[in-house]
Amino acid sequence: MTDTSLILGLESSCDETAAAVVRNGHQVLSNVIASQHDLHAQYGGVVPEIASRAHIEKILPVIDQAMKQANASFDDLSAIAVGNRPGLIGSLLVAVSAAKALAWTRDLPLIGIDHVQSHLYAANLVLPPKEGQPQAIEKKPEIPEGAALGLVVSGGHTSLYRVDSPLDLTLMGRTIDDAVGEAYDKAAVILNAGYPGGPKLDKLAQQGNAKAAAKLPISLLGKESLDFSFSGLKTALLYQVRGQPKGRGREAYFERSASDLDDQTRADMAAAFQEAAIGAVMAKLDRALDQMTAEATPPSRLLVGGGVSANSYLRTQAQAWGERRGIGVCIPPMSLCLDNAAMIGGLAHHCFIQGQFDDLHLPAMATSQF
Amino acid sequence: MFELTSTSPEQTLLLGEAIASQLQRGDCLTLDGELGVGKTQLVRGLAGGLNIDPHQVASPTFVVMHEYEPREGSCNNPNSQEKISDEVSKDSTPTQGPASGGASGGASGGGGGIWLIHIDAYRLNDSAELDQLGWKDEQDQTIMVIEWADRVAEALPADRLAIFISHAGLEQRDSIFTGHGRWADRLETLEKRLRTL
Repeated sequence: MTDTSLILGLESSCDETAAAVVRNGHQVLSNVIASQHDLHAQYGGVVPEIASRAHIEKILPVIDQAMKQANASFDDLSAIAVGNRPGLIGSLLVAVSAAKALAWTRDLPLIGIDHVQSHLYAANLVLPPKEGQPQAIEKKPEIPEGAALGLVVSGGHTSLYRVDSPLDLTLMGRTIDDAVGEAYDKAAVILNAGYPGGPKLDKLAQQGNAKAAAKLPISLLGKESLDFSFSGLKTALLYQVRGQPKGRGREAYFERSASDLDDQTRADMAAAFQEAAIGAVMAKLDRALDQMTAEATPPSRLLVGGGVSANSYLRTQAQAWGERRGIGVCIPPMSLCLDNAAMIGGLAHHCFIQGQFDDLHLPAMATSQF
Repeated sequence: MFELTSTSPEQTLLLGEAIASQLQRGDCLTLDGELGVGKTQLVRGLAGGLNIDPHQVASPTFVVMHEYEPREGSCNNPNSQEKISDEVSKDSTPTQGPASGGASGGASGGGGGIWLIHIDAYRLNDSAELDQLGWKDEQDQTIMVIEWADRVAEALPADRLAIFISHAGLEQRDSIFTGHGRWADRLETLEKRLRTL
């Protein structure tokens, strides 16, 4: 049994087509993500869309580029890993099929990875140095003993987990309606903040003062609940921005729209939205921490992952929360918060050293196993 | 066409459950209306009425499609539960699984219940993208509900129940029901049932 590995990870669960080569579960040798920006010039500017067709066009160039950047050949690889769940079946199938083909033709082990689980692993990864910067000292990040508290925040997920090891998660709570990233996107639409909604709303909120706007209600659900609900917050913001609904049926309209408000008012409302949404996440972290402590397994640290962990307000609030509650907070670097394949290749190392492989029947599945 | 008013999110849930009682395998529902009118809330009610755990229901805006499996040992099978309209007794084929059952491997349930396919077209750019989701293969075996259906109007099945919801107050919502294709004849029965709420 060996504890060294060189794994090619693939990912196509949603909008991004990605490939990455990761050494020993933490050292990212390449991390290629095809989006509007990446590959744009090189491959004719493909707009990300849910159609699996777009993934099909991008997957091979992305793999080529990841292997090239990592200076690796297929003979060097120990395994092929792929995010096979959750996501859209048609999209997932592209990376899953590519991974199977590679594993079969190169006679390499195949490892299926749950995308949500790998988000919580992203904070363990070490990125290659930027050009002109000295090579970071190669040091294996310590994974402390004991359970951790995991928070996944993205466009499709808002969940809390107890993390006993990189491969061992237990769901503690999740959103019962909108995910927090979706709430951000819709709040951005309501406030006319522009696209992409999450980052634009984050930016708008930075110019605002939450206290200057009316406080927005946020549902914490039952007293003990670790679930999330953001749907009511979205609707409350809608009424605050647009006023009372008038007219009925297809003629229904609102008193005003976001464009009738001045920039400062919109920024204040964005700040109030952000404060309520992230405040709810922090309140649930408190409850989860208390629950784990009551069960005599206090978490050693908080692991955060998913696209919304790139949000500046969430990052500062999570750090402040950790200081307040006296536990360490691990948030991935910005480039590893969004969907990527490095987290797939990284987490797969732990399957690899345990000999947990999949066969060529590995299915693409719509839901997470956690 | 007929119109109904719901006065609270709780009543929207009940409305969804009552609509579910009139559904049969292969039905398609479309939901349109502003942000925050309660489209997903209505789907939660539908799920409850189809013996699917309503807690499974969450907004599919980001991932576009969710598939909900009926409860284990569930009898939301139209042939074995009186809640579901009896006009479907000719259909005796058991459900094989979700829309993507073939692709998602072992995900298909053997319980014989009806899967609910929940699609959200909010992020779709055109009708062609709806076709690419793969739901058509098993459409006649499932019940499908599509939010923001106006965005993919050209790809919608000809037979469908269209529900348009609008804000009519802070908690109050108006719903307009329109039957397309074969649903035109079923509207009266549906209205009769919903008026008993």
